[in-house]
Amino acid sequence: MDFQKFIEKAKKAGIEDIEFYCSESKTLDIALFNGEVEKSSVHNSYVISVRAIVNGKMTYMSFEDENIDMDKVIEKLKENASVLTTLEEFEIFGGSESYPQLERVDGGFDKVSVAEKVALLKSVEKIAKSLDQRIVLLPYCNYAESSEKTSIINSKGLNVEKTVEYGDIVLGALAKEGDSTQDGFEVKVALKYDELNPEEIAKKAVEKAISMLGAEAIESKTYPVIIENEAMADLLSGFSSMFTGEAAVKKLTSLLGKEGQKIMQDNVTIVDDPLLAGAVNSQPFDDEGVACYKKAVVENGVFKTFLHNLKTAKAFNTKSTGNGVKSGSIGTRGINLYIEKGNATKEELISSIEEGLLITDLSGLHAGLNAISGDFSAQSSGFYIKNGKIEKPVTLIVVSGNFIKMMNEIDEIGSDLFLGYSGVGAPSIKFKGLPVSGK
Amino acid sequence: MIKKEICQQVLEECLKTGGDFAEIFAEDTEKNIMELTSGKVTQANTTNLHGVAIRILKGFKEVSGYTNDFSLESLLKLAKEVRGALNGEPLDIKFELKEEKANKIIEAVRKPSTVSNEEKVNYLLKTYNAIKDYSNEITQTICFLTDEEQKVLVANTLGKYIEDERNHLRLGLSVVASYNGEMQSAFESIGGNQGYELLDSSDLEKFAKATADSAITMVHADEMVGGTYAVVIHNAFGGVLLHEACVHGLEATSVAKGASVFCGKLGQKVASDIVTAIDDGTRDNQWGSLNMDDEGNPTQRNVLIENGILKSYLVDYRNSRKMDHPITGSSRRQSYRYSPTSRMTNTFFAPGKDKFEDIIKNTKYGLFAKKMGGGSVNPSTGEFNFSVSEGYLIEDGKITKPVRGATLIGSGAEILKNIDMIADNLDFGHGMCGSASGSIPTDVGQPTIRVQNMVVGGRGEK
Repeated sequence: MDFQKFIEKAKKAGIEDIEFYCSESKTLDIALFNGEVEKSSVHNSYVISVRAIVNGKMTYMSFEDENIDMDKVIEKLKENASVLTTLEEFEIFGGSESYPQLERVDGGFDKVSVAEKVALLKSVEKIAKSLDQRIVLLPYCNYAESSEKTSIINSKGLNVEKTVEYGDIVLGALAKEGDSTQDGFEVKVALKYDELNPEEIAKKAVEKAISMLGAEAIESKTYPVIIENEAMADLLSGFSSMFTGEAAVKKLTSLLGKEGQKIMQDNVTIVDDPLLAGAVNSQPFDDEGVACYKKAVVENGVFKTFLHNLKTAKAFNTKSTGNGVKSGSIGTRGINLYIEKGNATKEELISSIEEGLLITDLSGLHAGLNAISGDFSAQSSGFYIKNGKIEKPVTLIVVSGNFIKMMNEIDEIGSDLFLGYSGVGAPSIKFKGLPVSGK
Repeated sequence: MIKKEICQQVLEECLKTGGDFAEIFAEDTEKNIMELTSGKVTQANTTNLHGVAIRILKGFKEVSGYTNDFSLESLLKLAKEVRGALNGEPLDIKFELKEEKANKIIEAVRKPSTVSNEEKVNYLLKTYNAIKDYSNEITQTICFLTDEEQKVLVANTLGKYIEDERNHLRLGLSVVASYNGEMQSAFESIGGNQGYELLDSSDLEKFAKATADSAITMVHADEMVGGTYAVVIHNAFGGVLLHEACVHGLEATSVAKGASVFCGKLGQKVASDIVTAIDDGTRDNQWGSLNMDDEGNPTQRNVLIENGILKSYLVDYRNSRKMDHPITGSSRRQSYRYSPTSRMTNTFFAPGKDKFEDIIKNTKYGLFAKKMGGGSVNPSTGEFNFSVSEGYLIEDGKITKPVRGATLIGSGAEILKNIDMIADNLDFGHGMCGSASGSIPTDVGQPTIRVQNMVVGGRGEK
């Protein structure tokens, strides 16, 4: 598509500024079941998203038909913009003074044949089956790879491009013993093909399933609780919108007006580091072309800043923090948002508990939490700890709390920082007491 | 969208490496979203989808791909690329595409493209204006309107060539109430596979006030105290229990792999005698209804559980080969980008004989879950959870104080046997269901039901 011609036409039609966000992606997916390839697919797609400022208001449109009539797109943009009554101020960005250089990784996915990738999946399945006789089924054993190229071109002269390439394996293992059925999932996302290690993936999924066999609910009461790193990352992810400029503009966060105030205990620091080496989400600039940088959201318990894009920054008279992330329109989100690690190993956290719980999984967080107030009640599973030792697996319980309040009642922070593929991370954290509902 | 002759040629190309079935799914969709925040129009955006997917089967094996270019050259290139993953000799399969007409269950009169932006804004304003001065405890209202015109074409080597259009329309409202530094939100929506006549016939003011009342009630509510309770789940969106706790486990996606707790249980008792559960994609203009599914087959009324006995799974074409079970008109995909599989449409418990008032009166102590939030299930274990967005305690047969933060958990197989009262007040609520083939519109429904005992989580202390 001839973007310069498009920009000229738009300008002539009275559009003040216009921007194109083009994403070109190529993916391969393979699903293995019982030693056979059950599904495979290849996709090439090209999506053009355009946003435009007309009479000071911004509207968005996206299309996939490269032969679409430019005049019709321009007409639709003007028509949509004409009903906007928002008082927000908008900006199409001319570019940052400089951009950080991220180390380029050659993932090597292209150099490996599809047959070899199938063979890798088969070995994952075979290893998982051989590890324990109680593994009765591997309902998911999937490989996927994706390479995406995103370019942003606009009427302010910006023309930048970023790429990402990664592969992943998802393994689901089902274990049975007597009346008990449990499953375990492991998702491994890697920037390099060689980092997809079949033994490691198989072991983790199998261990998760087997260790939960025979799990039961426990008595309802308030227990000291360790939330393990992966579950803690899920919890932070569920509440991460409270730190965003978008939530602040819409008054959908209890942190509004609390910048500079102490909101969590002294040893809590939460950072967003979009430049983190080795993370899938890392990127030099956000989806508006603003340079990314590392920043503390909470530093030693003090709330430092909301995560802003250009628009929300204007509403708070500040600068974009490079957190404009596209999902339909450009919203705000942490890119690699994580709680900084502490000193204790997971074993030390466990051994410090006389009677309590290690929670390894929090389910249903999309529904069971209130991101405005920080309240949550989540179906959970994990292990019962007695006299500093794991005694038995636990399931069908509900752990409840308030995220902000909890972060003021931490006993100790673990050293085992885990960063999930969605770009949210945390170490295991031991809380003094959380209400648990069970039997 | 794509001419019959072109489809014929492309499908023939697909079968050249031993495939025994091939399918083209093409779509041309326009979606609009408008959002009103605190009375100001903050979004008016449009998304167009334009893509074609090819799928080839050989036995249970599926290979697929998609492209955004509808030209013959591009489709033949895609067909060759996709069929490259199979390497057999061609089977001698002859077929001739015949144009069919889809059922007319869905009739949209005022289609989105015929309604001006100004009119659309007026629906939002009408909703907002009903509650803008309703209470000083309301601190935010966000109202959105989404509409779509999804034109789809399905052609396959069984000779099918059929087109259809979907018009999913939804108006959603979220209201935030604040009191003493606490914030609680409530969400409700009106939705259908219908034109704007849906909103003309809806009482938007009543809808807005009910949503506002829910948020205001909940900001004054006490925290739920966790434990085991008798739980009365109200009608409409309460049907999310059935959706999560049971019917996800009846989808071929997990049944065909032997990964569901309901595997091998057809004809067996899985629920109490009073339970009949139905998935019905043919209900007039309902949010989860379709003229045809995404494999071009007519949607059906599928009785899944009848008087406690498991009668049917939800099955798509590929899985029907594996399961020796007829297809159920249940194959759905979010868009051409997803491979289709068995999914729900409008899923509900059939009405019973009890009266709502009697169910409350007969409950000595329990939780009345008036409105449900969302939830999720693990089909392998049947363990589910969902949140109660508006709840009340029942004490001595009366609904007493509001409680918040309640989460219901349990295992699907257990809960179905534990339902002991079902009222006669069937109603529906609208949601988006996310699973293997993407996010799709589904209705959940039920009359008021009582579950004898359930684990309820909450932050309150005894």
